[in-house]
Amino acid sequence: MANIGRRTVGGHRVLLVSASVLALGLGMGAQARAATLTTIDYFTEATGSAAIEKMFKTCSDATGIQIDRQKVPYPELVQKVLQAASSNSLPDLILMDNSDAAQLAAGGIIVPMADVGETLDGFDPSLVSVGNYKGKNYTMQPGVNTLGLWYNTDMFKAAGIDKPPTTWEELRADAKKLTTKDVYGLAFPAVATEEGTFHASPFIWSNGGDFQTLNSQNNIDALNYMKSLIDDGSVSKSVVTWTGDDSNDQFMAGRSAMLIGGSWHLKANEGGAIHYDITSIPTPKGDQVKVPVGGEAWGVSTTADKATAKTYLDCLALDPNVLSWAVNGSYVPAKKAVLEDFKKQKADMIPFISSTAGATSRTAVLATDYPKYSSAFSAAEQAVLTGAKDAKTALDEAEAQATGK
Amino acid sequence: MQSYSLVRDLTKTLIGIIVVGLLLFPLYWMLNASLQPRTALLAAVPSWFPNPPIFSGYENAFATQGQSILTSCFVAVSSSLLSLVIAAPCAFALVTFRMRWATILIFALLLVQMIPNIVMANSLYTVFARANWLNTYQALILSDASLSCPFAILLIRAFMVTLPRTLTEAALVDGATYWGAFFRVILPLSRNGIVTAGLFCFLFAWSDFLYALTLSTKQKIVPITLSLYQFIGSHGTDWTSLMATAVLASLPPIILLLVGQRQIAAGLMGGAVKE
Amino acid sequence: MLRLRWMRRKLRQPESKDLAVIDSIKAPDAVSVRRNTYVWTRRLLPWTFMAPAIAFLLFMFAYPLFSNVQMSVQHVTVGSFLTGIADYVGFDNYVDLFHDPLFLSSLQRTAVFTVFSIAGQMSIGMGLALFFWRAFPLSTALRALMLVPWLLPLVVSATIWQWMFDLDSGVINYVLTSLNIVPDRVPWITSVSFAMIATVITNIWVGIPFSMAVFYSGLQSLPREILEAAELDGASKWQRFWMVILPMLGPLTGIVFTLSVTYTVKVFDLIFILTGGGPANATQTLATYAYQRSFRNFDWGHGAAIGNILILIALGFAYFYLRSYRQSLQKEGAD
Repeated sequence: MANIGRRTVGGHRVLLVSASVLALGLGMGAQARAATLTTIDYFTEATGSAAIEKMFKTCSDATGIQIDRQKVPYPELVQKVLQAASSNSLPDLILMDNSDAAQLAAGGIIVPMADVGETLDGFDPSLVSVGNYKGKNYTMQPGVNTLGLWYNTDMFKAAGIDKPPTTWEELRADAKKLTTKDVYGLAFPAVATEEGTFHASPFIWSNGGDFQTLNSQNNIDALNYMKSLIDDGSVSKSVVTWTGDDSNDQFMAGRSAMLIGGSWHLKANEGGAIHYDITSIPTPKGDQVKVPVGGEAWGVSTTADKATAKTYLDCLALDPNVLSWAVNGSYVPAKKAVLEDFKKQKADMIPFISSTAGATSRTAVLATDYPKYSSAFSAAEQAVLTGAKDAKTALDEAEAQATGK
Repeated sequence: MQSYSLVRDLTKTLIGIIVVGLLLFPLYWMLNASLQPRTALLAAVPSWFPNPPIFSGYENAFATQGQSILTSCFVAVSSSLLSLVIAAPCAFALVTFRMRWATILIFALLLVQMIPNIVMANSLYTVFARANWLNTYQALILSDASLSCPFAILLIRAFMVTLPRTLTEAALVDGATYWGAFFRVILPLSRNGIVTAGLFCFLFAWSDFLYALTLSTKQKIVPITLSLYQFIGSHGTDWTSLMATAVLASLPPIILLLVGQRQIAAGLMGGAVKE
Repeated sequence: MLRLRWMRRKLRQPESKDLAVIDSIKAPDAVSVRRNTYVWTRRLLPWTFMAPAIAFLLFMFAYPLFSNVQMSVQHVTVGSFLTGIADYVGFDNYVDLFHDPLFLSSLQRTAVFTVFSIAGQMSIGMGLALFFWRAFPLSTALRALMLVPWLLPLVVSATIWQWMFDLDSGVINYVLTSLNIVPDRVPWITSVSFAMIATVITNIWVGIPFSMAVFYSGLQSLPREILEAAELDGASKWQRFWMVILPMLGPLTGIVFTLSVTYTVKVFDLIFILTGGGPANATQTLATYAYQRSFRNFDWGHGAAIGNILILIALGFAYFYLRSYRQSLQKEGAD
């Protein structure tokens, strides 16, 4: 009995202590038991992976939200996301190629940014709308990349060309001049994948064509122009097997005087043996080029906790974070406010910045039908470049293929 | 007589080396590429011999791929054993017992091998995700065994069919059960076929990357093929390191083959069937 | 015919003979025990051998087969993966395919690819197996090395061949032009006419080890006496091959052929990496087209339908094998 008494007295105090400890614990637990967001991305490459990890660390420290990261090889991302969807294990944040946004949006896998509460203030509206589906914005894209014309300054000097080409005529003439026994004038990828279409887009769009009507006269003329470069001998027939990386390799090995290549090659080309400069891709008449914009965009999956996601995205969208993301990944930042600082830090990106003024969305009109048209187009492109078919026949067949079934 | 066959044999050796050399030329090219810097690989004229050879590719490969090779070995060996354990008795049954279902089973064995790999991958993901077996060894071993088991059954059966039926029946008359006949008579005599089947099981499992890719969401279990694939994806066109990794990735199976071939040869000596 | 087979089967059963003997000697109890054993032996015992295999097959393959068939009669979109809902469209997907010129041309290309690949693989594989049949110095090592093409990751093999086939700096063109075998560099993978040839060559290269290894093991298992007898009888090498060896290798050849067809129609990685199905769909086979439909165009219903058609084609070949298997079963019953 005496024990109980003592315990009771002690018990109260103990109870009090435990209650406060509990309260403290709960409080701290609420922070320690912090939210975790699962993410998926395709930055398996060492520097890219390190960059994104750094970004995650910055924002996790700031928001207290931990990141459980999964990385997959680039071609597998969408498939992984779909597998996850079907087994009810979708990651919360998906860093996707912006061309896949329309598909995932159409499938309800990602939700509109408005639903998450993201207003994307400060983002360049033309760049933001690139990831739209049915008029709504589904992604937050801190930086975009695009294409430019890379050229070997030594070879230009040796050939007596004092400035890079700005019109199609100049491009054709320069390429021919620069072609020697071991060097081709121009290189670009024309593989049978989206990459091929991506690199042909500037030619198609700047000539007034588009992908909705594949067999328009403008498209025919554009493909005929590209074919003329091959006929001149300025472009290797092997382009139909080259990926973006392959063409870049050719350029950096001095096998090609010019390159239609993306800003994402900048990192890899640092410290390369050749001296190069970058300018915008020539257009038929030398006016503003219309380029596709690529790059990685954040989407919030339908099963994610919207509030947590918004908090994290807000952090990722902060100016300093957008700036460092763009600098590390050689993107053009999507926020105008950041551009001036960016230009100071990455002067070599300036040619790409001016090109993005002509940013055109691949999926704006075609949305989820875009892949069909893209694969039909790349088959036509390859048929024309290899000389198997003439442009009109090839594009007519492509149009039938894309609109059929 | 002896000198004639020696000349004949040596001629065969010479022809053999030429033939194999020609057929394996791409491998030489791979070796060549693994020792050359990237720029040399893009030159207008291919260089036949690395001059001087650079070993940075191999350094890279060793540094990153050691664990993957061990993982591959473990998974490949386990799934081969599993395949054989399932396949050998089934093949025996197909040969020994007269069953109406035999044709249906053979049909099924052929059918399941026709399913496109991607379909299998997606379905297996769903099944194992539900069972919470993603990123586990057992999921990968089972999946890799599924690549080879139907084939193993058919192959071992084709070998067992060449053994006379009287062997089994003699064993039965001597008082053995069917399982006893299987273990003590048929299995040893089918060693040739089983080792060959086991070899293929190992190779199928070793070269699989689709299932490894599909069934892993974290970097826990990374066989060498998956590692290679990720390497390509991440290093873009660092072909030197890539080829070096490929060479390293091919070595364990080659060693196994050299060892296994001797097993087959040994099995022949003891396996000749005489009435 | 059937009754004959059944009668023959009865005659072969040792138990029935013993049953007759036992009936006359032992007590009825023993008979019923013996009969139960009979049931166990003839009915259930085979299943103990086959149970693991059947369980394994069901567990691993039932769901994929079913889901592939199901997907092919549905309109599957990206959203279907999330919600699990997809409209049933009957055979529309299949009908669409037969109106699709790319599908029909892919069908034809698959046939060309398969026929030439298999012809090349099996003949060269058999030739090599015969060459290696009798041991000579270094034959073991050479034979082991011959298996390497099969076990190299396809990613690597296809890339190497892609380099070798390169128009400008590939070593094959270099050799061909240096030795003046061809007047000009061959556009192996950049021309719609040559791309299929290059792909078939690469596929044959990859497939030779499989045929060679199986045929070699088969040759080693042939009973020596019969071969020696044929040799003593004065048969020439050619005659020995066609009339003795080949027929004895019949079952093995059959399975190699059927499996080779099965694997060849499924070939995807090799073509995808070597040419991507191009240029201009020149190497687009059913397998690569199914992939494009499913994973580039996000059109899984049609992709699954193509996959099923692939299966049906392979089954067609398997049917012939099964028929010969049934015949060999009946033949076995005859001796």
